[in-house]
Amino acid sequence: ATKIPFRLNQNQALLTFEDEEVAQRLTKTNKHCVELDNRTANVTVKPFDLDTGFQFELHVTVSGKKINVSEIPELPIPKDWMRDKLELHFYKTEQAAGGGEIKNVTYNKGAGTAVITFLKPGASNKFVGCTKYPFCAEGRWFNLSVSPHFDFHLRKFQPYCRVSKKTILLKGIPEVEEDEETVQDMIEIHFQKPSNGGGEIEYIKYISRGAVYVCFEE
Amino acid sequence: MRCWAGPVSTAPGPRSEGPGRGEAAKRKRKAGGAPVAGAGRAVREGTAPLRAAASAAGMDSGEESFIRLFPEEGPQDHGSESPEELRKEIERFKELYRVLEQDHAKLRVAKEAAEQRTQELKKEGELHKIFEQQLSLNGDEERAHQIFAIKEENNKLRQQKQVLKNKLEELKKRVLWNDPVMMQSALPEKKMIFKGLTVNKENMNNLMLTPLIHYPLPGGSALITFEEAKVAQRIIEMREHTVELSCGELEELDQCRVRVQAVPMDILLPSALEVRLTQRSRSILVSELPRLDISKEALLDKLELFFSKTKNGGSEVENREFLEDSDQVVLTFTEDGVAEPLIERGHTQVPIGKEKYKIKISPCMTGDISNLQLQPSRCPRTVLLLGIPDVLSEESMQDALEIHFQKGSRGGGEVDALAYVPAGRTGVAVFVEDTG
Repeated sequence: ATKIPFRLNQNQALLTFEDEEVAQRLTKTNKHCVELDNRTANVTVKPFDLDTGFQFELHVTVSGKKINVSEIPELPIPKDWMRDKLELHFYKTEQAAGGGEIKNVTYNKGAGTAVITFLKPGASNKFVGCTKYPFCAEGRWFNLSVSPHFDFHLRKFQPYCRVSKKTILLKGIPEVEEDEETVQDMIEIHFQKPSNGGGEIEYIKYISRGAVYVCFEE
Repeated sequence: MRCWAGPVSTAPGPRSEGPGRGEAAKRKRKAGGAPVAGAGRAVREGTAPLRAAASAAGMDSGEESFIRLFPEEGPQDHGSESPEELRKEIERFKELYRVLEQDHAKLRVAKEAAEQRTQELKKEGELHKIFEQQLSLNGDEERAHQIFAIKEENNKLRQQKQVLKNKLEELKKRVLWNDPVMMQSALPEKKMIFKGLTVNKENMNNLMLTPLIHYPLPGGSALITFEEAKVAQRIIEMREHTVELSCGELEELDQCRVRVQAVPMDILLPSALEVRLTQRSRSILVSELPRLDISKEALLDKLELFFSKTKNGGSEVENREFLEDSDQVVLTFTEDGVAEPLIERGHTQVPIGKEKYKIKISPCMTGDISNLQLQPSRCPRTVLLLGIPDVLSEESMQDALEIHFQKGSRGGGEVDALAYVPAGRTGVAVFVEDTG
């Protein structure tokens, strides 16, 4: 289930009504006069603006035989020899955490990258969770970067507009001496009365100081 | 009344001819040929007892138009007169009558001429009035020209404004699809509500993943999912396990054992990615579809058939599908340049059955994913067993494994699921989100 975070700031409250119509009607009236304590306060009802969301199917295919190697140092040795050195490092399984016999190495000297294709399917699984691999050449040790080799494509991409029909945001609730819970109750009582244009309230959250992140769900 | 120089018709007055007999009739009449100004003039009256007034119009005054008769020639009663004298008198009177009749006729002609003249003058008077009005406008003519010019300019500007407005609308439409913020009004909605849940922002993942992993299993391996994560953990820590195989008919001494290795199950899952909203160049989004009594598949067929024809602006359809949970269809063409003109059209009529339905065509958006990163995720309750020799039938081995790993004495516990792939074969395991 999709959960969208929303930041609720101080002197604000969120109310979820059972009836969509009640919430919509309250949004149309901008200012409401709420009785808090012995004072009346003018609070504003803000229309809701959640953002645009996307929904899509991401099809990812991870290779079982290939891995990507990068951050290969540029050394003053011929390209072919460097390619051989890479193969020698990555095939050992007993003496190193390699992937077994190698079928092919494609080395790009300029970019410092390579794609290593192992013979055995599933060999790349050995490198899951492995991000660095030791490499020794010219008497020095290097740490090469290793990452999975994968393809991906999108399907059924759909943007949609997230709207809130039953929940309203109250702003500008003044600070009062009562504690948070009491104020929350008073707000709830006010907006439950049909005479105030309200209705049955399902959820309410009010904060008087600080900020909190709440969740909007479908 | 002002003077004007214009064609003015003048009616020539009757010319009078010579005098009558004797000095009896003495008439002077002059025809008026000169332009007359203004209204008519008063006729000057002569001093003769008998006067004939003529209409002033067209007549030049200064002329006496009357008949003068000898004063002493009025009818007199002389009493005893000779027949000769009487005859003379009769002749005289006849003559007089004749002259008078002539005069009468001439006067009548003059009168008619004058009347005609009056008519003409009346007409002229009206023309004059119109002319006057025109003259009064002449001073404003320049202003009128200016007003006209300004009106012309206004019209031109209005036209330009309309053209620019149209351009703006078009651009807005394009911006609408390029700007994610503006797209909101065109998107399907997802309703969200607050259910009282508060979270720690750091724990929130902006990428909500519902994974479905297909993992190939090598031969001689098994996957075992325990009910409790701590059991799985323990099994992994123990690494090697000696599984007793019950061979059935054999004695206890000949009981077989196999050694298997237990390793953790690490699965690569997307951990981060970048999404950029772009338009799919060969696709269209079809919406506002009619609700019909045909199946979704049938509707897709109808749409594909329609959009496959060049006469409808389409071409070969590579793919067609309903967007998840919506009434919108995405159609992808094999060729470039097909989608764009259709999107510009915006709407089209599709015949389905006997009716034609108006549907909406809009751009199809997709995400351009880049920078996809995968991170290994460890299964908390699933363990991979390796190195299982092929010494029993598949079913028997599976049972043996399950029995062994359920024993607490062996470090095991309640088993939720177990799958075994014998050596020499391969299998695919399906991993889903752990909601337990």
